[in-house]
Amino acid sequence: MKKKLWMIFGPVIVAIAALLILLWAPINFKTVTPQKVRQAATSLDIRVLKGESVKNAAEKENYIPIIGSSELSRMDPFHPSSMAQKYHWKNKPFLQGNPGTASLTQAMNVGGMSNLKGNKAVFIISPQWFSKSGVQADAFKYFLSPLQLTGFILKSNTGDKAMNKYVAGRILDLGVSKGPIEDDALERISEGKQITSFQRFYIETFVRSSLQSQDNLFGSLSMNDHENMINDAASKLPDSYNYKDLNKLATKMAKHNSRDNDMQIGDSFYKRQLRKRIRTYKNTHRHVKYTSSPEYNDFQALLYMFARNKVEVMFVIQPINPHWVKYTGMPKSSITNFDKKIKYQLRTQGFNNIVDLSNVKNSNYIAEDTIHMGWRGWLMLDHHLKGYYKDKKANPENTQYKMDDYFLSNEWAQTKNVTK
Amino acid sequence: MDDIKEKIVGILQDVTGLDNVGQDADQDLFKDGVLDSMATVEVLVTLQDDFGIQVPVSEFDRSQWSTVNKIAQRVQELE
Amino acid sequence: MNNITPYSSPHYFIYLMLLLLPIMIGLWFGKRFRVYDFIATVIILIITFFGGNMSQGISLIFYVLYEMLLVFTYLSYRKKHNNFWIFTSYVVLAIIPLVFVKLDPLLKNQTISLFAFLGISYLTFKAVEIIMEIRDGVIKDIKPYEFVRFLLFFPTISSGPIDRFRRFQKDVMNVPSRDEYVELLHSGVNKLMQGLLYKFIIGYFFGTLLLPKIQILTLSYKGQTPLGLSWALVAYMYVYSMYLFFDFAGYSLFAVAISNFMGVKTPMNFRAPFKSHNIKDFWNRWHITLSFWFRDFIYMRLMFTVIKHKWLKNRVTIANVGYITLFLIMGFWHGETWYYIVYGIFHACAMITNDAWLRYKKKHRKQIPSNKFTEAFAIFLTFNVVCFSFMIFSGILNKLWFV
Repeated sequence: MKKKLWMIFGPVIVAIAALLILLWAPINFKTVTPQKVRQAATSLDIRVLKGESVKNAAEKENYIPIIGSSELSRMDPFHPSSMAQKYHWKNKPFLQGNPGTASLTQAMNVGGMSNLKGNKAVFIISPQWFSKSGVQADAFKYFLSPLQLTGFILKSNTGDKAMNKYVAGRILDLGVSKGPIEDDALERISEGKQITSFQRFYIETFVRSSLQSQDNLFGSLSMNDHENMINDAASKLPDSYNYKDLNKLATKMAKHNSRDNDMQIGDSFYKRQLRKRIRTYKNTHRHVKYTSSPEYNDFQALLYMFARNKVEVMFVIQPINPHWVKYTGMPKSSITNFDKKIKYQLRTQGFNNIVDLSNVKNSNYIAEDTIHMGWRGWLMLDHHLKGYYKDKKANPENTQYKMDDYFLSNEWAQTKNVTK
Repeated sequence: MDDIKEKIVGILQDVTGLDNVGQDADQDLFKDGVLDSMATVEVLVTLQDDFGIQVPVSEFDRSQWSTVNKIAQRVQELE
Repeated sequence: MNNITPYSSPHYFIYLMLLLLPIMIGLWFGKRFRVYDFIATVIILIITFFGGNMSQGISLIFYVLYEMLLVFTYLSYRKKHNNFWIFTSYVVLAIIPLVFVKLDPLLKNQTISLFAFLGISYLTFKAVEIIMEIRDGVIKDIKPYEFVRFLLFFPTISSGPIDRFRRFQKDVMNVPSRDEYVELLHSGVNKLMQGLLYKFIIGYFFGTLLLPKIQILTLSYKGQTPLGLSWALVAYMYVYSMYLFFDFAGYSLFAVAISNFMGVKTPMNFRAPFKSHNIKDFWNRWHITLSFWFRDFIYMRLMFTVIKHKWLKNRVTIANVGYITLFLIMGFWHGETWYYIVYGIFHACAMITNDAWLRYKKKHRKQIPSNKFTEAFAIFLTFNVVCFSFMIFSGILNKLWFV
């Protein structure tokens, strides 16, 4: 009878034991290879964004992250990944961002990249994030990484207290619930208290270690692959780098790809997303403002995460297609006021490297569609990246940040006019 | 008993239109697709009329009515 | 803490296994601890219905009390009388809570949705079955605790399989012998593992990894092509069908496995449905306990009444009227949206066509070939008809055309 029981339950017990070992044993599964990192750098797979191991491996190699959102998937020949490949930049871009990622998601992401310490990064800001209601709860929950969340909770005894308090409270407000113990820990942090030693023990030993094993095992397994797309894009570039020639080429290619409409919007996008509905957008953005939004506080949390690790950051303000601006009736002041406010928040705290593409002299074909940079927009950015990518180490002189928790306040989020 | 069986086979043949039904009195009528729900109900109604018995639908446990022999036995019990 | 949906998370399985252990040890030594069974049921119900917002749990309690009141007043009535209209009123009263909950999306009334709780349909099926069998006189006596134990049997509470009272009663009154119980454990473990494979690996692959991507692709053709039709929709159809089967069959396997551990042989819900030779065969293999419930308590009773009272003469007409009624009710049961109703009508038409074909085949048996190839073709055709019906059922057309 005992044998019979063993025949029935034996395999189950063995399977459970194997699972426990796989998930909790302190074994470091070396699944991240240089090839994997290369693939991950352009894959834009959500597991790369939500994981930690691949990105931390990349920081040990010659990659500098470009952190942003949907624009990263506009892989035309002038996309930084394509340019870096064609013109053999010493460091290569590592893309992190998907449609729907905004400041808070990226704050958690940056918080999880421990190896970013003392290195450089590029961050692309989209004005559209700074809407009245800020990030949508569903989008944030979708991109929230349980792994990064545990990291945040465990690191909450270090770093800026006001920032930790703010982030924990904001996560709870957005309706995140990852389990009773995690929720309680967040609750304590949001009240400015330390987490209990039981919470630390539980989250560190049971939750985080299993999530780390899962990230190691599955985080880079059969990712999306855009390498061919990038190879294809790079092959369309001339062999020698000459900004003027490339500028002409970008204009020519963009023109060729937007024959369907007179708004310089890429044909495939226009056909898929706009043609039938274009009329419904006419003059709909007349009252759009990007100056009062909870996103400013989320953005501040992100700045704290960069500051904590002394990361040197190049901030890029993404352009909007000027024809689109005109069609939707958006007032010019919406963008200039936004620029003013976001630059104030950056500069007063010592983030001085800002590339503002929302306000350039010749804005023809600066965007690939309505609100995403592409073609000439990418090229203008590449021009700045070229020098920046020569060295991946941060210059300590550029990371003397003076953080101010006023920018976490609702007062700042709602401030409409910034006096210089 | 044989009388009952003969009558039942007759009913089954009428309802299904198959001449070879009932050749094997232990053939499983449901498994072999001889009786579907509709035919089953027809058989039941005819049995009720011909034998003057009452067979509520929920009494109709398929495993107890699945062959000619079993039907005959049930009918005899209920008569 | 929030409600935990049965069989959806590792936590649920851990709690379940801990609670089951004493029951399993008891059965191993040939004992049923009735009091412990009761306590375990209460704990599981609390985990399922009383976490966080308690409204589901409170609805459940009121619902059970209400159905109990109906069943026991009808039982005492039936001992003396047997009026058709009284019986009908009791059935109507028993399904009224379900009808209200199902009408909710149409009425958009906040107070009604308060009555809803996970699994209300399945409890209603069980209660109606008991009332019908009391009327037929096959359930002559039922004790309140037996009724509650049957209704709230936790392995099957949220989505079936729908057991029958007399069958269930036979199992719980009996303690399996050691050999029988070892057999049950064996089948239980196998089903549990198969369920894990179905729901969390294959179902996850189709439902969580593949389906959202294909849905986005499918909806991107909205307004671009006539009716938004595209090959992506075809892909969606197959992926959704696979997801639906593996997710639900996986869940059902869990329910049967856990029942087995408790010494109850809950009937299986699926029997290789995609191997069906025709649509009738399909309904004998897909969500079996539901289709058999509909067959026994709606279709056959309707046929019985129609034939007995000779309301209709032609047996083909009778059968077809039965199909339409049956599948319309099934459509309405799924929910008050156009695509569930169309799904019902579609299956009724498929059944009618199938019957017509079978009649034709019977007459022309000599001319119609029957070999391995025709068999494969029949399976292929049935599979595609079924997948098409699931595409209607999924509501994707609603998103493509109306939302």
